[in-house]
Amino acid sequence: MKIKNIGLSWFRGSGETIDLNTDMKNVVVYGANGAGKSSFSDALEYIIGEGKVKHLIHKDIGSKQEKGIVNTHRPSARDTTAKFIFDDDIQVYVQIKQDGRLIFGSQPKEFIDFIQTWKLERLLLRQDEVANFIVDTPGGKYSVLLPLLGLDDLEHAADNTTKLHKSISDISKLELNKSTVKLLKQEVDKYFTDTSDAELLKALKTISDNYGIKIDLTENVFEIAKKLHQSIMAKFDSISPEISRHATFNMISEEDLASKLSVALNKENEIKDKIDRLLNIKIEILQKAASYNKNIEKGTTNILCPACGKEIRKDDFERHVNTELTKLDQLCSARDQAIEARQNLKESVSRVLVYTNDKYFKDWLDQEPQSKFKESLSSLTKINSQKWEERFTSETQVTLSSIIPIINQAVKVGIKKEPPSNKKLLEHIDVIKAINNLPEIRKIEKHTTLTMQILEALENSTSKIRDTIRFKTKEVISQISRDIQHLWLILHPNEPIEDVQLYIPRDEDKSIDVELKFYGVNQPSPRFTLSEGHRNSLGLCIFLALARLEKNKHLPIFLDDIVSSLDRGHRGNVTELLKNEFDDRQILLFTHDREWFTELRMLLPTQNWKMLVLKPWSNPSIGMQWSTSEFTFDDAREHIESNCELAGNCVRQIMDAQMAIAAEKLKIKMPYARSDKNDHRTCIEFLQYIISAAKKNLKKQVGTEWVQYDEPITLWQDAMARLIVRADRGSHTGSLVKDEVENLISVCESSVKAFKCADCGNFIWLANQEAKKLMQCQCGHITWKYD
Amino acid sequence: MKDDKSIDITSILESSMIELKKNNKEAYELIIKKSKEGFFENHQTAGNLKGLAKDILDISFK
Repeated sequence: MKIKNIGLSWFRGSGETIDLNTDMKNVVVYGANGAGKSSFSDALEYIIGEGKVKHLIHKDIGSKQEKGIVNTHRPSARDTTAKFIFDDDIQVYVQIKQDGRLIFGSQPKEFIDFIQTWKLERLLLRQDEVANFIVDTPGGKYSVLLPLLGLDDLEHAADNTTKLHKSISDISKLELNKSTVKLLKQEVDKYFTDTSDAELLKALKTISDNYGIKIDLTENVFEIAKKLHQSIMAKFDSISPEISRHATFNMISEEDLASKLSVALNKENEIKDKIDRLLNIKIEILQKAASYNKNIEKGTTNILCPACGKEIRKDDFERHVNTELTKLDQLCSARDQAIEARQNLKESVSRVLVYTNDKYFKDWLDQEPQSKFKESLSSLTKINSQKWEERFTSETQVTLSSIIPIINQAVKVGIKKEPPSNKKLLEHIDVIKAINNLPEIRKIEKHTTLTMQILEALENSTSKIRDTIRFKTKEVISQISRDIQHLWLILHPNEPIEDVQLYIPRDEDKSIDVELKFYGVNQPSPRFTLSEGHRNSLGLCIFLALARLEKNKHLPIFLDDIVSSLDRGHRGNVTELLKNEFDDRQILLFTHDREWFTELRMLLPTQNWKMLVLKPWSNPSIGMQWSTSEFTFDDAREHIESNCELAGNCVRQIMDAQMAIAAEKLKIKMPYARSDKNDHRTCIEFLQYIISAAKKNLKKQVGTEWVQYDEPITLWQDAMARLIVRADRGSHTGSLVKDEVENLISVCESSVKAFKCADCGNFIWLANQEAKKLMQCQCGHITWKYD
Repeated sequence: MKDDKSIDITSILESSMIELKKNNKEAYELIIKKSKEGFFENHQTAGNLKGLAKDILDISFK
């Protein structure tokens, strides 16, 4: 497939319109830096990349890269267009309309879809990509090469199976489920070593018996567990008040009201008799003491007892009085003990009343069977409000004596009704819960197993796809490597850098590097030993080898400024390589290297190659323009208006390059010059030798005769003369004027054209018959014999 | 559209999922069906992959 025409309008560097008409040939486009030649490559990338050019990517460039794609000076009523016409008038185009719409189209309609499947990386190589590839990491190289290897489908598949694996793992909550099962199983393992239905039923029966709950053993074990759990939970709810009530009974019992009442009553009885007796004694003593006081005289040793009237010694009387006082003290003590007993009883009664004020206890009291107990407590409450700790009336004593036994009896009964222990109950609930966990455990385990089977299948798939990728990568890079070595040998014949090949480092995935032998020593990377020029040359070989992969053989190749770091010798080899190895592909070569362009123009046959020159950039409104000349003298013309001297120098530089190549092609023998002078000969020197040789060697066929061909010699002599006067670095000292420069350019351009046959348009050295030491143009009307 | 490449990937999946085919035929068949539609050989968004993951799990657990 060949490109017939590329038309640009306000696209990148183009103005109103510019057409690269290939005439279905290979094309070399020369343009000084900034002339706009990359606009053609950008157009191809923009269409294949569906609106994206990699080197223009910038956050502010716009979603369609319109700020970079549209010429900044596009008139408001114009669209931006890039259009490719292929053979058979197949057309494809892109337009950025005035209103900003981006439109891709083609004729036939489906061709746009086809072109957008092209692998740009196999069709377009730019200078920076050559350099970047070689210095990139093995992973980076793999990313670059992946689309070129034709394995991106497999890579997508490997990525998709890997990501699907993760999605399934995430959505299924696999890890969470695993830990949940682990925890649930720990609960089951506490109670069961065997989770057979028989064992589970056995456990459930034991529990149900414990609570008098009936279960239907014919039911499913988990159904039984579920129902039993409900029953036990209901039990648990009723058990709470029962436990509370039992605790209340225990506390009431610990108060031991009956004993305390008994003590209080006994103490009361004790002091009751003694107090009566004490009152009598006290009265009698008081009466007799009064009489005694009357009878006692000073100095008396014996006195009459005030109690019995007998004469007693005064000492005895005093002893007696002391004895009575002791009795009185004992009585006081008994009284205090009685008060304390009453207080103890009262405090206990108060506490009992607090205990029985518990909600659960009161609820229970409200039930009919407890009415007597409730009445007793009610009476106790009333009594408690009185201050009987100070005055313990008989009535209070009677009341207490009647109600405390009732309370005591109720408490004894209550204490006997011991509720089930919480601990045991909770344990039973845990056992049932553990059984109830089993269906969940089994369900999660089933899901987990299924999930893991899917994940394992996906892991196997990813692994097999990766194996396939690795295998195919090796296969493809082995094939490419053979071609790389072949191309490398053309570019670098007789150099001690051999066995250049791609390889997968240590069987790593997603990794490719380049190895070679440098003076016989294996090098795992070109970075170790190769110069920048050699690296770029290697990058070019790799690209060209990839471009030649079978599936893309019919598509054109764009080479955009690919030889800037190569020296002249290697550039020449690139020319040979393109001419001889890619004659089946249309090549569009863009270069800013004037010397190389000159060489290409002089070497490449015009029937296959078209040479085009872009004028130096003027301004965005004018945009890119083709030079009317096939040579590069427009570079000099650009300076005429502003600087004639500079234009003159430019002419000389152009002629230096042109004549050096012409002399080389015509095999002109030049005397050896010392040091680097061989590389710095001037066009004047070359012309002298060319003219001298031409007089012997250059022949033209006229009819059947071969005659000396003088016209070119005249033109070369004219050019040499003017160069000596106006552009020779050694002789020219004055300043040029416009007319002189224009004349110089015109004469020099004619002198370069003079190396071409007027009939076929090819250079006279196009065909070389080494055996005859004869060169000739395409049609053979002009020949050059050499020694 | 099914082409040579999708057949290759489907073949790889088929040969990698023999056990799954035995244990979970529904999931296996869904994956193979998607493969034949070219699902795996093209770039897929996270949403598409999650969607397929959910479908695979749903069909496996139903």
